[in-house]
Amino acid sequence: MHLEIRYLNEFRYSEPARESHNLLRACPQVTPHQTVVSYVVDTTPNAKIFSYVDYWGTRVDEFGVREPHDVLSVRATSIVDTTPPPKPDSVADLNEFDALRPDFVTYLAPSPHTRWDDAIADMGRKAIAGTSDAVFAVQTVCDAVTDHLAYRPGTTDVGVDVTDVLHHGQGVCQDFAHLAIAMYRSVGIPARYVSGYLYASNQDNAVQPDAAELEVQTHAWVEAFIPGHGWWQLDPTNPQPIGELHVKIGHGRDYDDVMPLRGVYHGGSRHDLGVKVTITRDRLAEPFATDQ
Amino acid sequence: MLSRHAEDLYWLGRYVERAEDTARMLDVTFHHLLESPPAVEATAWRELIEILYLDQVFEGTLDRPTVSGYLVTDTNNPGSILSSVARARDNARGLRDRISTELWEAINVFYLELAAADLTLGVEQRAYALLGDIKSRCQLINGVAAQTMPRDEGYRFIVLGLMLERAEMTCRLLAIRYARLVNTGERMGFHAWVSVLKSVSAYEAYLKSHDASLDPTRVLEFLLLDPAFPRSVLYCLRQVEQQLERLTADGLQTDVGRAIGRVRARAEYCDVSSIAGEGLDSFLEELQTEIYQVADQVDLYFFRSGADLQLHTVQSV
Repeated sequence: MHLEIRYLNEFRYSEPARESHNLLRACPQVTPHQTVVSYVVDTTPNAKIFSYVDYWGTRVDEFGVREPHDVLSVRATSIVDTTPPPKPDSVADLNEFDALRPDFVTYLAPSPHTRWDDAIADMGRKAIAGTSDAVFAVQTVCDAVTDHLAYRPGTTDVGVDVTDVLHHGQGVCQDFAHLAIAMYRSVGIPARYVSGYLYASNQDNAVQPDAAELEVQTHAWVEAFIPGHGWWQLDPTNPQPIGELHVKIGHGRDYDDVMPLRGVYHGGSRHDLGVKVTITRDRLAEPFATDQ
Repeated sequence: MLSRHAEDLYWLGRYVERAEDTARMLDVTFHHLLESPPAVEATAWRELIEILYLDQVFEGTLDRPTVSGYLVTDTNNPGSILSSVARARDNARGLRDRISTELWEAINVFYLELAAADLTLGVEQRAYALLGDIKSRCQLINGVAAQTMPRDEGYRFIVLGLMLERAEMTCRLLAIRYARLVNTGERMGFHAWVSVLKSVSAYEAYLKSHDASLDPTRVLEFLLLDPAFPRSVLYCLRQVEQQLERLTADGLQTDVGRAIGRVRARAEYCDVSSIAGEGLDSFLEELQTEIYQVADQVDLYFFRSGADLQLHTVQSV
């Protein structure tokens, strides 16, 4: 699928902000199922962009705005070709995960947003009880999160505890992802957080859109490691398997490692105009029809 | 310059001066006790502990070995000479690319010698020599800094820390002596005044500007207000003001500039004859409080400016 993704993030300040330093992670990653045709970042006020690839393999665009400004807008435009990743055909057994431990400590240990308690571990154990098939178990845990949580934007903040998410039973995609990761890790399945874009009209329902152009926001899902296959992407917010609608930006232990934009500034309090992601599909640029 | 580096330089200056002044205060107490009846010993040590604001944390008997051990060698006391020198060295180690090799070596050698020496024995048996060594080592460090550091922001932060600490410590030193005078009604003889002056290396300087009769009010005036003697409170405060004026972009039109201006003016225009006596204690206390406020403002203006940083974050939904 040939997609043009326009990421726009605006901050408006009550008093002029100055000395603003920011890191943007909005560039689609190059993977076997994802090709980046182009990627351009620009900001208002204009800033010199310094780009590099971080430890997790995500492209980071770093910029600073020194002079006082009332509005900061960050635009990142990417054009990307996606193909659906294959479903794992591995017949791995659940007890094969034990052997992975030494190599996957990073993705098995609790991280700030995925610190689980007994209730989460119990839910994880219950979900995989009665099966020894790794692929099936991973899917079951993901489904358990989908069933347990209600998708309600605006009910949680970035810093919410995953234990509270479980308790209140609601959240947004990053809460779904953190809960799934906490459950995977609590039962010994390596799991990581994926930040990206989803080309769908509702973030919790990944049916293909009818319109060519859609306004969405940044999305998050998970990857679990399957022995004999590798990392397998699952989206607990949407019950559908990951296809060519999901565009991956990068992965990390949790949200903190791949947050789309982080920064500091001096000055007055801010009013977020929020993130607006506009995705346009160009069918003519697709070499092979994938959905007709 | 990064505020982290500025803060380390500032504290480097303070720690070295703190070690030196603690040695001076111990020295003046030792000297005083040589000429006093044994009965006043416990009082003298308690006063020293109180003056250093350690009376809440100090748990021990008020005698010479315990108190001097606590102030010289005890690493549990963050203000002890050994702790101060250790912290100065930690700071200097992190600043190796900003200070001269000679300055680092002067601090490092001092620390290593102190750490290797049997300080408990030194305090017991040769306190005068030990405290003298500590003073001259600290002066060596300040001298090396003065001779090898370019006169840029970095050096100014060292001097700022040093002078602020010295202003405070000279106030405390005066408080030790005058508290005794006021509380006990004890008359201080000629030798006691000589020892006060000598404890801040001011004896000869005083004699040059005054006669040898050692009038207590004149001694007080000299140590508080002499514009040329580098350990007098006024001299230190003027130095602090001068460094701040060059370090702050807006000159002294800042909170920190106003704080130093206030305390400098209070010292400069005080009426010595009216405070020498009953009022001195409270005057010195007020002076110290205002010096703290300067230190707080320095902290806020130069080192904590990151505290009001706001965050940009974005939730994925």
